[in-house]
Amino acid sequence: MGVSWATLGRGRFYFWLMTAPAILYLIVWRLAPALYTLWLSMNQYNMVYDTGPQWNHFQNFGRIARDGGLRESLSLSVEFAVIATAAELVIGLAAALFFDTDPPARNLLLGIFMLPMIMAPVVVGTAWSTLFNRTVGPIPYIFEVLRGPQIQWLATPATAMFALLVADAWEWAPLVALLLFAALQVIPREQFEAARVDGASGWQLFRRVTLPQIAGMVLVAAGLRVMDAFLELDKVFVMTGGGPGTSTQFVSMFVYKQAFQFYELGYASAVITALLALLAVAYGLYLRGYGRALRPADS
Amino acid sequence: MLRQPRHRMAAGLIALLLLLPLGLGIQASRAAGVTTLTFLGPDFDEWVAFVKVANEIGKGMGIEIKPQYLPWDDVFQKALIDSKSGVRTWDYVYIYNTWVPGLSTAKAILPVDDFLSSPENRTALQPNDFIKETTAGLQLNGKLWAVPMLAAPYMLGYRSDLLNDAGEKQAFQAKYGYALAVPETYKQLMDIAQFFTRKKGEMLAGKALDQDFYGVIMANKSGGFLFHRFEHILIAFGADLIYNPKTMQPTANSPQSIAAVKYYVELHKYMQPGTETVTGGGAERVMASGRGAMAMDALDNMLSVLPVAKLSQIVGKVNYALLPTQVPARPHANVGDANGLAFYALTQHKAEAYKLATAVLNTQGTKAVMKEYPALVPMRTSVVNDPEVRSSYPDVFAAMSLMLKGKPYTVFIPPLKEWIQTQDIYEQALSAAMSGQQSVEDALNGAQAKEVELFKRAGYIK
Repeated sequence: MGVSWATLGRGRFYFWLMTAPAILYLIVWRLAPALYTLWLSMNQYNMVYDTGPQWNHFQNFGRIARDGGLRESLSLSVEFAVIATAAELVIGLAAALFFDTDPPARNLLLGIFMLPMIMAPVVVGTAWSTLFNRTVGPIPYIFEVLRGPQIQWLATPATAMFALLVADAWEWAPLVALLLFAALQVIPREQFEAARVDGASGWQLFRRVTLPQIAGMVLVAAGLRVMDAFLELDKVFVMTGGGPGTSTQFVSMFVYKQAFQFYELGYASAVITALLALLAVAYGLYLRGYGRALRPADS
Repeated sequence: MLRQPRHRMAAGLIALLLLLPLGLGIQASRAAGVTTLTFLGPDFDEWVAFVKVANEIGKGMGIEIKPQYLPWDDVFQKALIDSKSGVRTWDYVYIYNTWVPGLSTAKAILPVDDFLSSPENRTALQPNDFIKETTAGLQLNGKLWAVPMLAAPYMLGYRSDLLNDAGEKQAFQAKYGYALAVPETYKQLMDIAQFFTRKKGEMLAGKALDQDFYGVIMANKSGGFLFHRFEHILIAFGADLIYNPKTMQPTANSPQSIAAVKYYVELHKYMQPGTETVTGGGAERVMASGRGAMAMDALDNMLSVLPVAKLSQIVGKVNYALLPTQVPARPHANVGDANGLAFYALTQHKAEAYKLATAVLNTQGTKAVMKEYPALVPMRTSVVNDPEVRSSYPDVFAAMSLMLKGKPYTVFIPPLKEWIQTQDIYEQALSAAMSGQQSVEDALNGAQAKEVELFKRAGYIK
């Protein structure tokens, strides 16, 4: 039976009544701010000094094209997102494979492993900032005890980026593990048994049986993590403040500074609009690739 | 047919529930006959002390004060956004001198001068009693924008026990060829910082160190702390505060600026490790743990930790001096720092707010605040010269006397609307130079290019 107004309730009134909160939410909290941001992106508006937004055509977008700082931030964000996602995929996959072997107290271990994921990113940033702190942090202390190099983790460009990657991997590898573990759980065990009977090695089992069947989920996890890591702000804000220099000033931090430190709302809106367009294109390509990856070869 | 009355009843109940707290609030307030003022400020001890004293003084005036404490820089944002949105909640807003141009231009605060037309109000405020070297930062376009409350002059805190130790004096003389004393120049500061930077196990004042020891303790966290510490050296070396206010040309890569950054990068070797992630409070905790010979910080920051027995292992061992001199024409150069109480532009209790503010921040009121917060560096001459203050707060008195008698070269952050961006660009370059990301010259040349672009965009230069 097809869906009709009548099947939705006693009448249209109930249909609208039930859907109104969702529609209202979408309009008020999603669509309206998005449209306002789009409009603001074509205005000069410094919240402190301008009495109101002033239409300046597409000057903000012209500024984006010339802004070396933004280009640097974009490049850092891409670098961070790619490396963090790769690390999280490797760690997450390893953890998922481990949990799939059904170790003793698996559920308890799984629960503990998932804990970082449910922590607020600011808390994660604060915790890792303390761990890496040169004066009171345990990580520099361990290096000292082991007579290793005295590294100023958050004070040099390379180590600050590394520290952020470690913190991000610690927080989000569990999500990847959870997704891949779920995918592993639905692979029929008979396939492994049959392959073993045929003399497949452990690596061949993984390469020929496991990986093809979880490839879709790997792509989903990678897509989710790349987009999220690309917009990382909280941990950067807490751990490095974008420094030293501009070595960890990712694009979100750049936008945050423009909007909430410099109050350049017009320019910040333009950057966000441009980023949104960029992400939409990237996501479109990803969905296209994802569809192809899942499609059977002979279809 | 029954549905309609039920709907009405439900709507009535919801309205009642929503309005009840409001009604009860109004009722309670009226019953007590008290005017409640609201204060938007940072969660700093001095402002907690201010609120406590204000509530004590306010009792007799039928005024109470309710604070809303936020992290320091959120106060600016909240005041700005609330005033732009027409929120009338606040009466008082804490203000820092660099916020004056922004909040005054945004019409978020009222100039104190608005209240001074009547002799009665002028007498209550006693404006001539304020120490001019510290209040200038709260003035803009000839108007005072806040009632000054706390000065935060940057000074040098040093371990007098170490600088007076006979063995250390002898060793210093042998190594550097002149007597170990409170540094008068930045060269001497560097020498002393280098001299006292020692590894665990080495001797210090006749005792083996059980942990590393550092020449100078600093707060270099990006986001303002770093530049805020460095700016005094920048000025001392004869540089502009990033741009020349007469020509409006950025001077980030001027020879003086390059020399100042090179100096700071060198001094960085003798600072505690991890200084890049440390704020003012954090730095003073390191100093208080007995791990540093000197600290350059706001006087109230140092006073709120170093002489406090429960926080400090070096009580009684720290003295304070004016910052050193580099260019003779700029003796003890420093950038002024002032904190005050501003009146929120949309306040609905103008008269009461003024009455209470002047009562709490007059001579007696300030002394009462000092009892609650002994690190308060007062901005009134009458308080500094008060015999009770002299005897009860000898550190404050000694330090403020130095400021008043030493007449240090003091400048204030310029009222440039792009100041935060200007500072951020320079601070990033400084941080890049300190971390080795770029050479000093490259970092400052890059900063200069960005400053020029910013100033062009703002229309100051072509």
